[in-house]
Amino acid sequence: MNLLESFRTALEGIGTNKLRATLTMSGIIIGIMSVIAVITLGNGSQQSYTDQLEKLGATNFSVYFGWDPEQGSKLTDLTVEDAYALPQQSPNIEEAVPFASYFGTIRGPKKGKDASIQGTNEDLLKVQPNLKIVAGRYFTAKEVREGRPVIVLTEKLAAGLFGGEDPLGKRLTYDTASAVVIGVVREDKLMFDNGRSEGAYMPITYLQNVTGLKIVHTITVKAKSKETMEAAKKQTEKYLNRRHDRENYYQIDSIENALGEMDSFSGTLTTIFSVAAGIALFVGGIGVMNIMLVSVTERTREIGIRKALGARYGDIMLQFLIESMIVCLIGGTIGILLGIGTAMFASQYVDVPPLLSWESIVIAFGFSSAIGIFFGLYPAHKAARLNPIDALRYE
Amino acid sequence: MLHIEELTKQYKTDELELFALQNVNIHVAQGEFVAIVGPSGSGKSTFMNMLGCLDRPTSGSYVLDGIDVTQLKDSGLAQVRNQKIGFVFQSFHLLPRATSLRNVELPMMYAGVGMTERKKRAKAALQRVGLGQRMDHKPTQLSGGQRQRVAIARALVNQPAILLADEPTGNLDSRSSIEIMAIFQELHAQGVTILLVTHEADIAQHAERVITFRDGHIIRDERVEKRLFATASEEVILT
Ligand SMILES: Nc1ncnc2c1ncn2[C@@H]1O[C@H](COP(=O)(O)OP(=O)(O)O)[C@@H](O)[C@H]1O
Ligand SMILES: [Mg+2]
Repeated sequence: MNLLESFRTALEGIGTNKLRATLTMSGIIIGIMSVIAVITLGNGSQQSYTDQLEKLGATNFSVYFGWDPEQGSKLTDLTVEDAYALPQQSPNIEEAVPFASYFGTIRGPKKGKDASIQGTNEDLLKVQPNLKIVAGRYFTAKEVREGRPVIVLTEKLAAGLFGGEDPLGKRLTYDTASAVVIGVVREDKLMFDNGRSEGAYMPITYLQNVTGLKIVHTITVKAKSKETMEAAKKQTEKYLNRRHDRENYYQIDSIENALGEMDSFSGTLTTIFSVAAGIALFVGGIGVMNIMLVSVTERTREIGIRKALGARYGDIMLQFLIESMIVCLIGGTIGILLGIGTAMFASQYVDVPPLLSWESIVIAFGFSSAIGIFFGLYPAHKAARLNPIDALRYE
Repeated sequence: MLHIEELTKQYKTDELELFALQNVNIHVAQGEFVAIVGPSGSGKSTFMNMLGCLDRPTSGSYVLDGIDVTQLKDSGLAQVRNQKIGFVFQSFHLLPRATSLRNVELPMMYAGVGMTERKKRAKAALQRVGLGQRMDHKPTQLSGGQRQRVAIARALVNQPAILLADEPTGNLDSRSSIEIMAIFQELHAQGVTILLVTHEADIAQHAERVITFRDGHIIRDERVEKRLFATASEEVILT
């Protein structure tokens, strides 16, 4: 008997007890639903992770002053000059931007706000692609060189200080210093918050002037490419240690390392869901096997008739295997649809965009048919090996 | 056509061992119409099941159309059932949810006949038993006699070497029984070899030869002296 006929026969078999077939599918539906939801959300979080990485600069790494297990925090001795010197030291380094942080209360004409001010240089936007100028301009190399009292606010801080008013050209004060607002940047929303979102940027030279800081806290380095990043890290470390006459003094971390934690968190979630899905699928498979066994018993006489008319072991086997596979595939299809729904629903709460992939659908269908075949094997064998006369006589 | 020697079937249950058939010898030639009679429990059905390759004998030899079927594996027996044997049962044994046409198609499905050819042959077989107008009916929509005619069409559709019928009129009223016997006689006239089990003497008289069973043995094997001839009602027109 050909495959098409087997399918038709199997469909006729399922059609005789639709309600039972549907109930049987529930385990498969739940299992496949979880699988699809997990993969869809997992893909989404993988994608947004990669997006984050791109936004923060996938080829960036930062140099911090180190941490000594015995002495505790080491003093930073990085300087603005280090940052300017680094790109010349290695062909793998594209940019190196210094940061010095200052926390305090910034006062506008009407209100004050606690904020973090980053002293940095004219190349900031090149290493932080998530920043965009939305009003005014960013400060120039000349302003950095001359230590001009200018400041660029993040949109959030600008809104906090000025409400709806135009902040450009306004003077802000903090402690004893003051600066004129020359621009506003928008910071793309990040899942990984680097703590600077309610901040401002000003020339590092001016910040050092008014605070008396001689050093910089971090230097963010942008490598030419992902491939050269490791080499750039090594060269940076070697160069800084040599320049400052140190040994293993600096700590170098890439954005990817910082984001690593989030990834392993979503990894745990995936594991939990996968285990749940696995259990549901197994239970579903047992359910399918059970119902197929019932079906074989109920249809013993039908099997006898088919055998009396010349059906071979393989014909009966195929008929019941296909039947159990179709039950699982229908369950799988419903599961896929519900899984997509679940992922869309859940994504509103876990802040991960659902990302459906063809692979996941193929996997789900593959899984469903595999379960159908695996758990259908024993009942199908039981049906196929029946002795024709015993099957015909069965009451 | 059909050679049976020393055929024995022993049933073993926990309590007792029982010889349902014991050293049965029969030869049936091509084109014969044989009735098998005997009291209930004499082994007629057991014998037919052996002939139909639905069950295996305990010992003895059985050669059908040149094939020693006792040597065959299960798949070989399935093929013999499909190609060489047409079986008609007392309780019809149609698939309840399939139409007449589909029921008649079944043996050809297992023979691997293509769909168009299958439909064509199934329709022809149904017309042959006078059911050209009942192709799309399900068994529940048919009378007992009509169901048995579907079963006969199904048994014939692969052009078997032999047609076996175990009490084909056992569940039918007398009018339907006569119709069925008319079909068998017509098929016999067309050259089909038929073995038919019955416990009714008048049904047996439609055959040419009557074999009588008792306690698993053949006690008589004789020609029918006064054959009865059934005439089909106008509904059943054999071609
Ligand atoms: N599957 C079986 N197991 C045990 N004994 C059986 C079985 N089938 C038939 N028999 C016995 O074999 C004998 C012959 O039965 P059967 O061939 O059905 O007789 P008939 O068809 O002539 O009435 C009976 O005694 C019956 O009880
Ligand atoms: Mg009987």
